[in-house]
Amino acid sequence: MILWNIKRRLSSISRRATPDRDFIIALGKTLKDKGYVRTSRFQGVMFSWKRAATVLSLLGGLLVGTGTYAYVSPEVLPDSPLYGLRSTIEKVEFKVARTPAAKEKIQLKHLRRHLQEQQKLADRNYALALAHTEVLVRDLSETVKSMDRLEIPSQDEADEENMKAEEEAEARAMVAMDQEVLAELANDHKELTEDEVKIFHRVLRDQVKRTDEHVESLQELRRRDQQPNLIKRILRTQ
Amino acid sequence: MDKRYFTSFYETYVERIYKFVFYRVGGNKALAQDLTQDVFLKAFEAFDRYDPTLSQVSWLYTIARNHLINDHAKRRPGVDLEEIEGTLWASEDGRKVFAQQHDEQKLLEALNKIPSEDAKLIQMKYLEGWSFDDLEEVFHKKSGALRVQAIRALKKVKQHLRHPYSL
Repeated sequence: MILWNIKRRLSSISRRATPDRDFIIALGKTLKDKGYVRTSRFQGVMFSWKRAATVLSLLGGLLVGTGTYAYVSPEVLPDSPLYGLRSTIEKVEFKVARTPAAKEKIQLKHLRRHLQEQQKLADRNYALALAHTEVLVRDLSETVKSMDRLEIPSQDEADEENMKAEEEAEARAMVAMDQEVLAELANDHKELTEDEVKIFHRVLRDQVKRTDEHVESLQELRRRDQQPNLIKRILRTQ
Repeated sequence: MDKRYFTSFYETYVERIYKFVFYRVGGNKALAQDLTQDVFLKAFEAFDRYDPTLSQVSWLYTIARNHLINDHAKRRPGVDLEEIEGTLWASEDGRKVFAQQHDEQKLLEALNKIPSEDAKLIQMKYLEGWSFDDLEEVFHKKSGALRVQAIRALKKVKQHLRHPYSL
């Protein structure tokens, strides 16, 4: 019998000699009757809070670390268990954005990222990539539709001559065309072969790039319109 | 020392003192509980005279040992506690707790064959749960020396387990 085995047997015997919990409580009560006072509840609460704070901070750190990895890592794809976490973070990011313009930017950023994921996924798992394409098309369609809601702020009558009506009309026409293209793609993509899916991805990439440019141009219109207004307002107040 | 600090004192040492008493009353649970209660009541009464610069465990151990000696003198007059302190003996109830398996029984028999100070060290360290630092005050030796002594004592137990009929 080696030494650790002897220690183990002794430990087993020792455990059987442990006092009953009821006895310990009863003795505590007897001592209390004699005037023994438990240390303050506050100390107990502090001890619990300390332990709870330690556990919570460890859990929080784990969550933040995992969330950061899930959000940032290019290796987290739709077939990864962390992808749900990434989607949740993206939704929160979208909700937190205050202005419609900021929301559009975020939506586009997510769209670009989803496209990259799609490409990586297609390399690994063609069937899964095809299934995920529908989600991607839907996201792109929603982004393009929501661009219609981007408003040019109302102008003073005196500032209307500054508005680039032609430029705005052109941007909106491109948006409408994008929607038509997307509608066709959405109907056709289920029948595509592997090569056609690759072409489809290229088309989607171009579409995202154009949508990006359209949003930028609409935002530029807003900026150009706002700046003269701001200067005029400053001049009026002087 | 302020009696407000008795809580942690009690909660820290109650199990250890109970086991200390338990193994010295032959595993008699009811008697162990009574004596443990007496020890802590005495400790509580004397707590405001306790000097915090002294070792807590040593102080409590002294109270427990003295109380056991007094009780033992009443129950088993003529038998010195020191003679049996290093010996694990069991009452009828105690045997049920001490040696539920054959090899545990052999182990306890082997423990009774080694020198009493070694047996006392093994008993206090591995059965009652004292740390080597706490045992410094009891054995008046450094914890390092006690660790070495414990290892040698376990080897003697191992020797007796291999050769049960050796003297």
